[in-house]
Amino acid sequence: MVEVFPFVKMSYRSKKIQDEWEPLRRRIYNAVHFAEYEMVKRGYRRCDVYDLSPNNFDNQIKRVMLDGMVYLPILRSKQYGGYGHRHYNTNTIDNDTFIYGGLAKDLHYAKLFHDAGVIDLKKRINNYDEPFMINGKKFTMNPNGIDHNVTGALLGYPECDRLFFENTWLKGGCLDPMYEMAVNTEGVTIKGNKASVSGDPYLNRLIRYWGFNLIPFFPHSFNCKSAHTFAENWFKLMQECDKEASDACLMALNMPMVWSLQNCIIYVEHPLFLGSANGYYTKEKYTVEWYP
Amino acid sequence: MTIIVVPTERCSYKCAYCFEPSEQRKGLDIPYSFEAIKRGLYEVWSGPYRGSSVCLHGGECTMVPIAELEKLMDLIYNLPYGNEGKTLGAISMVTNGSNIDERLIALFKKYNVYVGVSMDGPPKSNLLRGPNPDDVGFTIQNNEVLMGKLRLLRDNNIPTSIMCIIHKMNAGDHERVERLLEWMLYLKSIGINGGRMNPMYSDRLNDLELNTEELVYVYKRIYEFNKKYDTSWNPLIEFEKTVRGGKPTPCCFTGCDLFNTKTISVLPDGRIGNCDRTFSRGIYERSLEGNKRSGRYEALRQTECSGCRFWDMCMGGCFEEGIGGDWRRKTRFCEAYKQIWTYLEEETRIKYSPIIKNISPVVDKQHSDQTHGDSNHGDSLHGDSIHGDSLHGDSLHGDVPHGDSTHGDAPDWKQTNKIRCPTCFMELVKVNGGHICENPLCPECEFYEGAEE
Repeated sequence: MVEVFPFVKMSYRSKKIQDEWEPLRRRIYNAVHFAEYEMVKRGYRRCDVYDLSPNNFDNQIKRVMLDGMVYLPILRSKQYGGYGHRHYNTNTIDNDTFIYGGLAKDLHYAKLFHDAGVIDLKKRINNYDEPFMINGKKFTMNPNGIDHNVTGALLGYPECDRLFFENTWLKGGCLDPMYEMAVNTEGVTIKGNKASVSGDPYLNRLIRYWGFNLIPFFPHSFNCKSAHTFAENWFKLMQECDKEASDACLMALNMPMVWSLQNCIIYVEHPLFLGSANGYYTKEKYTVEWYP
Repeated sequence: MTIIVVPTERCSYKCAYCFEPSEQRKGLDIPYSFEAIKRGLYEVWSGPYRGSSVCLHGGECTMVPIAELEKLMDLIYNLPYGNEGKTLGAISMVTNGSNIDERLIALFKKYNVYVGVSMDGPPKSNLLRGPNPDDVGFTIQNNEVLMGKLRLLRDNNIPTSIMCIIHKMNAGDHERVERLLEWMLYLKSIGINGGRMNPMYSDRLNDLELNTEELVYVYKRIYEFNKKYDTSWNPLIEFEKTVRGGKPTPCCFTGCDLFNTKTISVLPDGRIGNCDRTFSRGIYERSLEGNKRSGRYEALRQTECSGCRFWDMCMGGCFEEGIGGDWRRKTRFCEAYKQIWTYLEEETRIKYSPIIKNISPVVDKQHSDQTHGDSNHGDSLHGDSIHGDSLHGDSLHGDVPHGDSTHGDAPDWKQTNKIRCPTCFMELVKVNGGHICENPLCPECEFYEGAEE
């Protein structure tokens, strides 16, 4: 298996741009984390992926407890930068380890999230002989392994996008399906392996590696209506935390840009910066051109 | 490791294949500040790059006012080096040569400057370089003037080498290669014994790039020339050394990627940048985020270069030479390099004992086209913090100092039968039955004993 350890790199186009945008980018991270947490706290979704950091776990646990929420750890992973397509499981706990787990408003959903996510099925807390309900819909737990559909539903991801994830990421092996999202987008122009789209900036995930991101999952297209509703709620919460940074994030997402995947590396040419990040192996180069 | 100091991005030339077109430079206009450069250089010098060779580069570095140039030379010359209050005491420079005059010569002498002049062959072959390569007549005239500048440098005993880009116009067939070799012989007669012959890469002019057959041919001829005339034209000397087990050189075989290169630059405003080749894409500053790993290195090792027995000495080659202009791919000269290394492998096997270390006899398993298996993680962000972008621990620019010195030329270079450093080819000094290289700019052989002749 070809695999490049997760990394992110970026260089701004100029010193002036860097001076203006780098502080904003740092604030965007904060606003995103705020929105991610508040989406659960305020009941927009049942669960959130919540990682305990070795340097900050005391404050994180305190926050969860004071907010009356529940947290269940799922696994230990080695740290990595940027976006990983998997966890780097470990048994140790040290400064290089974080705890991946689920945050919920009540134990019932925390257990469901936990049980859908554990690799070792013996570690499941409950038995799932019977179907169960999430948001008024009936689900059954995968008896053979991780249940991405249940996890996605608990995270509030729309059904069409969960299905897309299953088909592209799980079955298709597209670990970063930007091109596949572009192909599904209304009005796309395709030439060879290059897709040109004018999508919804709320759903633009082409520059998430550097923090510019208003949605935590892969919509099935860059104009998925269900995903937009999710992103709008997310964005409002971000604005509540830091309006200027959130608006800047939306602005950056709405600029023309070119994303490409070649030889396991993602490269993005954006008006503000150039960046690269780990991708996954494809035999050919894939390109997405984004127009506002 | 090499630090290049870029006092200006401006250049008086408009070379046809330049990787940093003049339009791009105009738009950039990074303000020059001596104090900022000093700060940047000291910052770099205080870390792992301390002791590296320092090269005045550009743009065209001689375009800054001469008083500023002298300040920069003084700064570099007096960088602390080693213990006991020693200083670096030497500088290298890359220049197009157009501004060389008596005043600059005086500075070169004062600050022990090794000058690397960019020129692609004799006047009638050096047609892609110059202030206006579209005007052939003017370009040839300008080249004649430049030849005069080379003589001026040598008449003043300034160590000089040549930075030559080879392409179809100067090395595309037997006749052109012969002209190039004749010119090299002339250079030797005036005391210029080497330099560098890099293959041209240009996505705009790729019809002028040498193909595999042509590049292999010219490199073999240069190798033979080096042997016959005791010259030191690179990368052939470096290639031979690498094939014999030395560290991979030049720098383009050390696993760089676009965002973090082994060579480091100090920009006109004091910011720390990458190798100047990255400037072509508008990357002037080293990556804000990222770690020591080169994603390109990791990827190539498993994909396009998987199983290649030259991997340890190549690492995919220079990212800017990537196939199809894509920096993520292996060098477009891959096949030519393989052939020339194979040739050198045979040559060195005959010449030396079998100590070839860098070439692996084992072919790795080809990469599979598998995707990841099931994992509990789709796409999440973790620990995306600034990593400090620490400097690479080790790198070899090979071309040290950048302009020349290593391959070029000391004032007494014409003398033969010297025992020389295998890295920089400076004369070694006899100590306790062995020999040491005392060239402060030599990257790795401070205490080299028992050098072969």
